[in-house]
Amino acid sequence: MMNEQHITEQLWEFHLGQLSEEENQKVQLHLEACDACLRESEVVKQTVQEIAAERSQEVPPFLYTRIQGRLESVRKPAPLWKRVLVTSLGTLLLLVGIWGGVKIGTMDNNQFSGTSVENPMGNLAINEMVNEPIEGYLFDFK
Amino acid sequence: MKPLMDEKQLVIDLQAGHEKAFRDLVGKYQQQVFRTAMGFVHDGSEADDIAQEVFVEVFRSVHGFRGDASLSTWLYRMTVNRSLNRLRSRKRKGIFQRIEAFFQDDADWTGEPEADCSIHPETVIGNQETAEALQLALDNLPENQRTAFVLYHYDDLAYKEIAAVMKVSLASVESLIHRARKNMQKKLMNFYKK
Repeated sequence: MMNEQHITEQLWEFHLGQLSEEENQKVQLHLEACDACLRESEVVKQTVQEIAAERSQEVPPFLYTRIQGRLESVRKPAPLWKRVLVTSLGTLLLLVGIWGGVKIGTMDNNQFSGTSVENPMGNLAINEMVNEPIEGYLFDFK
Repeated sequence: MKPLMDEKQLVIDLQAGHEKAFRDLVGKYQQQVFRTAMGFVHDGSEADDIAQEVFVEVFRSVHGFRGDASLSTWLYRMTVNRSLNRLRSRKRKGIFQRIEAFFQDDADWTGEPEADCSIHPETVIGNQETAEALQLALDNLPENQRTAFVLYHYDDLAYKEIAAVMKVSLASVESLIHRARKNMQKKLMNFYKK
C-alpha cells in the first residue's frame, strides 16, 4: 500500500504528465485500488484542467493602444482655459480674503463704543487710545 | 548569447526612449504579464488592467533598471506586486460591502459559495462551480504560496526562476509549492465532499 501523502504529491505530476512511464503505471495501479486517492485524483485533475483553461486565455487585442492612451493622459497638460480659470479663481479668492481682512480691521469703532444705561462709560477703556491720544493728554497743560 | 544581447539592446533602446522598442517589449511580454495576472485575479478585464499598469510602470521606470535581474524577471515581479495589490484592494472592498450588507439586513449574503455536497467531482467537468472553487481555494492561500503556485502552474517557470522572482531560496520555492498544493487539495476536497 503506497503512502497516501506520497501519492498526493505525485497526483499533480501525474496529471501534468511529468512522471516517468514506470511511475505513471504505479500511480494508475494505486488509484485502481484506493477510492480515497481516486477521489483526490479527480479533484487534482479538475484543478489542472481549470488552470489550463484560464492560462490559455489570450490577452485582449490592442493592448498597446490602451497603454498609449494611459501614457497620453499623463503626458498631456490640462488645456489652457482650465489653467487660466484655476489661476484666476485662486487670485480672486486671495483678493477677497485680503479685502475682507482689511474691512474687518477698519470697521467703525463707534459701533463698539456705544454707551448705555448699564454701561455709561461704554468701551472707553478699550478705545481711549483712539478717543484721547496719549500725546494730546501728555501735552495738554490747560 | 544572442537572446541576452537582444535583451540588453532592448533595454538600451527603451532607456533611450525609442517607441519601437517599447512596442516590441509589449508585443513580446504581453501574454506573459496577462497570464500571470489571470492566475491571481481570474478575470480577463482586471488582468488586462493590470497588464496596462505594468507596462506603464515599465515605461516610467526603465531608466532605473540596472540589469541585476533579467527583463522577464523584472516584469514578473511587477506583475505579481500589482496583482497582489489589486487583490488586497478587492478584499478591503469586500469587507466594506459585508458591513454594508449587515446593516442593510442582507443576511443571506456570506461572500462565499456554500459547499454543494451533492456534487461529485466527476460530474463537474467544465462547470462554473469548478472555476469558482479553484478561485476560492487560490484566494485562501497565503500570498507567498499563491505566488509560487501561480508562477509554477500558470507561467511554467522553473523553481530556479521562481526563486529569482520571489527573491527566496530554491528550497523555499519547493516548500511553498508543496504546501500550496496540499492546502488547495484540502479546500477543494471539502468543497466536493458528499
